[in-house]
Amino acid sequence: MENNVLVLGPIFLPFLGAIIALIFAQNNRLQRIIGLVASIAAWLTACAVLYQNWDLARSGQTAVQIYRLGNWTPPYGIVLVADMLSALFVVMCTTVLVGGFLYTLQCKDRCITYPVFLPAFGMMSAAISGAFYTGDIFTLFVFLELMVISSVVMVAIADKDLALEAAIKYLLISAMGSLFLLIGIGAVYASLGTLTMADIGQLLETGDRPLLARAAAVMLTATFLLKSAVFPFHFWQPDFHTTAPTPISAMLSSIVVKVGVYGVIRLVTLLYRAESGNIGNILIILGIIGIFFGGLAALRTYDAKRVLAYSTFGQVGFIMVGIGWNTPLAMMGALVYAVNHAFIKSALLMLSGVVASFNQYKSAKLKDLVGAGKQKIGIGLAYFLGGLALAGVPPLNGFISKLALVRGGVQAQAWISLGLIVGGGLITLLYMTRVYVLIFQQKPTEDTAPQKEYGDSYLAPALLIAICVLLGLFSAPLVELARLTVEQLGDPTQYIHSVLGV
Amino acid sequence: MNDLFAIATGIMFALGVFQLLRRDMIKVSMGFYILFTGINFFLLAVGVFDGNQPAYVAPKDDGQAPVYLNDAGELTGRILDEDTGEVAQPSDPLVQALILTAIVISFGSYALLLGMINILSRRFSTIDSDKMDNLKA
Repeated sequence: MENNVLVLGPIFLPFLGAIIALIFAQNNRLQRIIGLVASIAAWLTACAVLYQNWDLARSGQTAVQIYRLGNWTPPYGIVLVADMLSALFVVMCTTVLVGGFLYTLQCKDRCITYPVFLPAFGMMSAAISGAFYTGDIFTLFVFLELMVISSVVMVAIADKDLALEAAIKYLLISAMGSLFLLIGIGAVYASLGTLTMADIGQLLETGDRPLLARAAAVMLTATFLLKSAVFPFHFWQPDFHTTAPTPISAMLSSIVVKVGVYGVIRLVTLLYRAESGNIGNILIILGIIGIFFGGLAALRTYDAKRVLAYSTFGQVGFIMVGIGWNTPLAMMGALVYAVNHAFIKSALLMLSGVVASFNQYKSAKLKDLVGAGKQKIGIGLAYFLGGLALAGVPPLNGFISKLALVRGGVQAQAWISLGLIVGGGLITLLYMTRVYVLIFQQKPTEDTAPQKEYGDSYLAPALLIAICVLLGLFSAPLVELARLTVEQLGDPTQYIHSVLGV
Repeated sequence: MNDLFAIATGIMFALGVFQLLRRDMIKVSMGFYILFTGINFFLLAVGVFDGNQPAYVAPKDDGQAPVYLNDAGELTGRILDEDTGEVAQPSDPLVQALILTAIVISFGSYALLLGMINILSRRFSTIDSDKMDNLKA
C-alpha cells in the first residue's frame, strides 16, 4: 500500500506550529494566531484523510491509509495507520482543538500570556493525534507521555493556586499508568517479539497464546481505564479538570479522556479479541458504577466546572458500557456517543468559563455565579442547548447517541444494564437543570452580578454548540460513518493486511 | 544473569512503591524515579540476553551487506561469523532503543515533578503532602 503523506498532517502541523510559536515567544498575539492556523491546517488534513477512507469504505474497498516512517517495512519500522476508527477520532479531536485555539484567541486568563502556554498546547494536540494514528504500541506510550507532560505544564501554570496541587497529583498518577503500559509493552515484546499492533493482533489470533502476553492485557486495560478516568481510577479527574484554564479543561474533559476510550476499543477489537468478553464484563460493571457515581457527585458539587468534570466521569461510563456489550450496534452507539460527547462537553465547559470570566475572581463556584448569566441571553441559550444535548433530549445530538446506545443494548439483550443506564441518563437532566437554573434563571445578588465589562468571547463554544445542533438534525452522515467503522472493526484482517502488506 | 535481573527489578519495584506512598514529597519523587529505573531493568531483561553478537555489523570490505539473509533471500536475523564459521545471533537492539526513549521521558517527567515540588514547598513551607490540602474544599 502506498504511503499517504496526509496522515502526517495532524501530528506534524501542530508540532511545527508549537516550534514556530516558541520562536516568537515575545509576541503573544502572534503565538495565538500561529496556534490557530496550525490547528486549522491539521483539521483540514484530518478531514481529508477521513474523506478518503469514507470514499474507499463506501465503494467496498479497504479503507486504511498508512504512512511508514523512514519507509521501513512493518513490523520492523514504525508505521502510522489511519483506519476508519483513527480517522474518525482524529477529526473529532482536531475539530474540538480548533475550538480550543479559537477560545485562547480571546481568552483573558493570565496564564495564556506566558510564552510556554501555546507551544505546550500545540504539543498536546500533536500528541493526541499521534496517539490515535500510531500503529506501534511503544510510540503510543511516547505520545501518551507527551500528552500528559504538556497538559500538566499547562495546568500547573494556571491562574488558580489550587491547580499546581491537582497537576502534581495527575502527574504522579498518570506516570504510574504509563509505567503499567510500559510493563505491558515489555511483556508483549518478551513473548511475541514485536511491537506493531497489527502484528501483535495477528500473532495472538493465529499463534499460541503465551500467558505473559495475556497478562499484558490486564496492564494495558488498567492504563487505558486510568487515562479515561473510569471508576476505580477516577479520583484525580475532577480536581485536574476543574482547576485547568478554561480552554485546557475543555480539551481535557472532552478529547483527552477519549484517548483511553480509543485504547480500549483497540484492545477489544484488534489486540485481544479472544479476551473481549472478559474485558467487556469488567467495562460494563465499572461503567455503570461510573454513571451513578459521576451523576450523583455532579448533583451535589459546588463548582460549575466541577459539575461538568464529574459529568464526564459519568458519560465515559456510558461509552464503556457500549464497548463492553461489544455487539455491532452497541459499538456503533459507543462511537457516536464518544464523538457527540466531545463536542457537547467542550462547548459546555467553555461556556462555564465565559460566564466565570465576567466574575471578579474568575471563580466558577456556583455560589459566586448565582444569576451571573441572567443578562447574557446568547450564552444562556447556548448553555441551554448544550445541557439538553448532554441530557439526551431530541432533536439534539445527545439524543442520537443515547438512541444508538440503547439500540445496541437491545441487540445485546443486556436488559439489566440497559435499564440501569437509561435510569442513570436521567440524572444528567437533573444536574444540568440545577446548574442552568442557578446560573441563568435566578436573580443575581450584588456579589454575583457580573463585575467586569469584558470577558472571554463565546464564539468558539457557540460554534461547537452549532455543530451539536447540526449533528442532531442531520445525524445520518455520522451514524453511517460509525456503521462503516464498526464494519471495519469487525474484520481486523483488513487492518492487519494493509499494515503488514500481506 | 536473568535471575539477578528479576530480583533487582522486584526490589526496585518494592522500594519505588514504598517511597511513592510516603508523605515526604522529595521521597515520593525518588520513588517515582526508582520505579522507572526498575521498569528499564525489566525492559532490558526482555531482550538483552538473546544474542552474543553486536546488532550492527559494518559492511564487508567489498561493500556487500552483512549476511542477515539466507540463500533463499529470507531475513533470518542471524549473522555468519566468517572467522569461526559459526552462526551467531545478534543481540536485540530494539530493547536498548526502548530504554533510551523511556529514560528520556522519565527524566523529563522527573524534572517537571521536582520543579513543581519546589514551588509547592515554597508555597506551603513544608514538603509534607498531608499539609498541602487546599484541594480539600
